Amino acid sequence: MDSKTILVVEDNPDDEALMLRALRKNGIANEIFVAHDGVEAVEYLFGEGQFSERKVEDLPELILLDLKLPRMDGLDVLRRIRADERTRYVPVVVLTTSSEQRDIVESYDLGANSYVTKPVDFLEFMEATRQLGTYWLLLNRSVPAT
Amino acid sequence: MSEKRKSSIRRQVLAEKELSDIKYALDQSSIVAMTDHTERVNSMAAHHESEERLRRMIEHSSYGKLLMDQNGTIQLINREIEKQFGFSREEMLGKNIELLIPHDSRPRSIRLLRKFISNPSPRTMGSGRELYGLRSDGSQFPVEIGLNPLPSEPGIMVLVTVTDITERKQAEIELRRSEGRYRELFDNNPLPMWVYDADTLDFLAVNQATCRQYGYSRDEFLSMKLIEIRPDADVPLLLENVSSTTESLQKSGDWRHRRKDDSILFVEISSHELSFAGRKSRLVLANDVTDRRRAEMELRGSEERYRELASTLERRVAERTVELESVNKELEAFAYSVSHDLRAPLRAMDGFSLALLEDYAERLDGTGKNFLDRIRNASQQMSRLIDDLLSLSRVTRSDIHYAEVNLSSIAKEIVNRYQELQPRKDLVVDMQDGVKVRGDERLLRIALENLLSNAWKFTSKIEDPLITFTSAEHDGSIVHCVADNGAGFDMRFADKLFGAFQRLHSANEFEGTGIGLATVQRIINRHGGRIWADSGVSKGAAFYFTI
Repeated sequence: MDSKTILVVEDNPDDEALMLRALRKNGIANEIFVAHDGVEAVEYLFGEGQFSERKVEDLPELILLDLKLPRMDGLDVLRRIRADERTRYVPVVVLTTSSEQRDIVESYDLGANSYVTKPVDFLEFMEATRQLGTYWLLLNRSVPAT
Repeated sequence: MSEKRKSSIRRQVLAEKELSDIKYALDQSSIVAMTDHTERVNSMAAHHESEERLRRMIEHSSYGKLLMDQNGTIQLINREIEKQFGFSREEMLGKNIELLIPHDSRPRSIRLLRKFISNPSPRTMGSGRELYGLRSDGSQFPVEIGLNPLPSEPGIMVLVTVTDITERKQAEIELRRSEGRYRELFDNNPLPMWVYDADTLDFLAVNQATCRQYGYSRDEFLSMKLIEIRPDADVPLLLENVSSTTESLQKSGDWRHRRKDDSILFVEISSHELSFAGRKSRLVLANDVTDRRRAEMELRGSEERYRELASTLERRVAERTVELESVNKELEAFAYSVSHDLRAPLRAMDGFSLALLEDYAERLDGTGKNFLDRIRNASQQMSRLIDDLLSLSRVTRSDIHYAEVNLSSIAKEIVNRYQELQPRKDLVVDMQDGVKVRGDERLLRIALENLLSNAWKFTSKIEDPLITFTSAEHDGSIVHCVADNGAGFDMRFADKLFGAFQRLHSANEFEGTGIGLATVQRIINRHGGRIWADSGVSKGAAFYFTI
């Protein structure tokens, strides 16, 4: 099992901590990078700004993307990801609190692979994380990086 | 004028011409000359000649002519007289003229004759009176008598022209009758009509309807002018219009007229130029359209008011729509924010409580763990509240997309899903098949979901639970019903049933947010339907709704 990165885009430190806890508790051992807003996520992905040293070809295995973010929101991040040849096939799971119809529709329109609402009950959240990890990290075959 | 009358007048004119011929002949004769003593010598021959000429002229006249002396003795008659009176020549000659006069008018006739003799000049006898001739069979016929004096020796002779005017009389009677009919038509016509002099504007004739309508008597009218039945303000316009009216019958439009009591009426005027008693005049028909005009004016007024009202209403609706839109936008922003931000802290409360329970279990006693459980329960309950509130607000905000919706199959789907998640073998579900309505499927699904989850919940603690979905016609509308035989509720609190956050059961008995039925009611209302409930404590509950 390789250890490709999971990019978590999440601005809420509580949610970040719980997410990491859920991932770890489900035995997901991948390196996890947390971007705390949309701009940081984009800079990380495309090796810009503080991440100019990072190689863009080192694509994350999975992006868990919140929608409501400071500076640049999740939908804009998604738009950038899908617009760029290098990142357009990276699996993006929108993981957010919103269950608003328009968020769901717009996410899929922009090319999200999946849309998951974060449950309040942490046990349910754990279960959701477990299933996501199983599916996207083990079962699913993505387009290989070239 | 009838043909008969025309011909009879023409005949009279001819008769006069003929008379002048006769007089001319006599002028040339000795009958005149005989009064002149200077020419008396030659008179006998001339007399004879002129008498012969006179006889011929009388004889050949196509008019009844007779010659009598001043005593009324008939001297000469022609064939026409014979025909007219039915006497033979022999029966008349030498007889007194009385023979030909009805008995009752003889004295008068004789008087007239004497008067004529004393002042002889050509005239029509007893003009203006009715004269009759007496036939041999005793019958009478109307006559016109022309008298012409012929100076003679001795005294004068009288040439009498008798015209049988039976036909003319008949024609006159006919005419009078038809005139009467027309007068009647005019007089008794329910439509006010009058004739006025086109130059002086004097009323020349008015009918009874006019008198009734305007309140003036006929005599008053006949001394009035047209302008007197107009409001003063309209007089100049009237004068202008009168001068421009052409000959043919024409609609002169609507006018205001004034009655004797100064009240105003609206009339539709038609006028027609004609000659009346030799004066250039106009016949006017005045149709009272006051009621119609009033109705029109009222209609116009009410239309205006209505239009004003409508525009006010429209403006208000537009204002309200703008307000509503901004409120809706705010609500949407609020909902969006709630959806995102309010749940994150709850997740933290739940997640970290659980983390404490997991990671620090050995340091917590029972009470401590119970507190953490309570925190978790509370945060989860609040999460459910938020979900339900968002659902309620979504129901309010979303557009309705009408389509055929099969309520039966949706209800079955919902209960089947509950059975899969949490099987209940004792539960009896009775769903009527094929209940279809027109509505928004997504919203109706939410409504049924709420009703059925209530039924599911409130039958969870009883024996032989039963949930039904039925539909029946009642008072002309289709009423649908979701019912159960569960806990029910006290009908005294039924008015609180559909209010948001209203609960009729404690959280210990049954969990809930108190928003479900408010959501259902809002959905039903948005479909233009009605929802009501029937229940009793421990008697189950039935929710009826129309769509």
